[in-house]
Amino acid sequence: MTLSDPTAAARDVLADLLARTANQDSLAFAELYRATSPKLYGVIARILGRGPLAEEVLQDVYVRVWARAGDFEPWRASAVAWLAAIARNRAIDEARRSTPRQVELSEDDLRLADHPEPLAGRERNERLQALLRCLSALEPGRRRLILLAYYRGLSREELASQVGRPVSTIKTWLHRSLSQLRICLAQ
Amino acid sequence: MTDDEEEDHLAAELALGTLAGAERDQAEERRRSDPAFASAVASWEARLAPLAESVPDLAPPPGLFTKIERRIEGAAARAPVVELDLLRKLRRWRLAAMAGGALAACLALALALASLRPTTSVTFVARLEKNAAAPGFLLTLDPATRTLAVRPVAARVQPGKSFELWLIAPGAPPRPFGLLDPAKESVKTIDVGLRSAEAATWAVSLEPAGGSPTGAPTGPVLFTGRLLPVRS
Repeated sequence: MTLSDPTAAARDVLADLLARTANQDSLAFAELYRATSPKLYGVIARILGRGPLAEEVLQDVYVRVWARAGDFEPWRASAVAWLAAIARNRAIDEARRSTPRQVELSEDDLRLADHPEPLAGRERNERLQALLRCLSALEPGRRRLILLAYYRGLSREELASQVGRPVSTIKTWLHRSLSQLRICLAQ
Repeated sequence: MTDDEEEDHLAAELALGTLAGAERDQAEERRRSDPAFASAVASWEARLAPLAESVPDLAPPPGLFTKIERRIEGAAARAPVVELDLLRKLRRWRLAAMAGGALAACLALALALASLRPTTSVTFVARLEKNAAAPGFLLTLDPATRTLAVRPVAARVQPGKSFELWLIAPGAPPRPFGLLDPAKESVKTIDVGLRSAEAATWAVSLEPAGGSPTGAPTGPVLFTGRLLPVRS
């Protein structure tokens, strides 16, 4: 992160709000909700669909954040990254209650999975740029698997039925792609 | 494929969310009980999380925050439930301690020794942990000799990595206190005042084999805790 990164200041604000939330500062918590809930609801609703279940999960996520804000480790990830990981994990718990789901991919899902970059007007940080660069080095079909898993919360089994391949093949592809990603990101 | 690679694939898939059923449950349980695995999962979550920034925002329905506040207040009002939760955590920690070897005996011994000494005698004990369910090391400080005994509880170290002990005093950079053996007790003599040792946070970080090359923690801080006096 450099000083010229236009989103760096915004991220510091969120890290500060999390630190104050850890000290039971309810005003900071309310501000954190205001600043981050559209992002987290977007992440959760993409996995579970909009509606009562996604709203219930969003509530759970912020109750957890209130209780565990002190676990946030700013040297490891940005505040948004930490919050998004909690939200995804909780949403996927819910999605796995009925496995495998019959998932219908929308045009929008495929657009995001094939071209995760264009979000007009949004500032992209260096970490996202590095990740997109490394993802673009993967074979397109395998990149799509990783991105569908991330955005829609698909399991190996659900990915297998989407692409009509055995689960063991999906597992091998995921492992190879993830190893390749790790090496690329470490460079 | 090496064990390390398999471990990292499991951590990566847990973070990506592609595991299901018993495999996901077992990996989650592992994340709670194994700090090195938890650290690998957190690294993967951090690698993938920038993607969340490419997900379009979606405004949650109004009124949801009020429900969240009510749930938090409701939990706080049920104080006995909180106490029960603490008791459960303590019990879990005791079980973990027994599973981890001689920790319970060590704690009992520390208490017994404290009770044998003259009434002014105090021993300091600290539990260095990730959370109440995941203790890593037990610190016992003998104030008379300034010896610090550091006993591993459930700490496992990845190959090619070392645990390093730090004293983090308010307003000062972390001070290294050497490497910790994950398999047996390490004994250190400390040259800081008792008040500083008690006011500071003790922390264990994961470093390259042989310790931090820079003199400051470079890896994840896995366990932290503070010394508490055990009076006779």
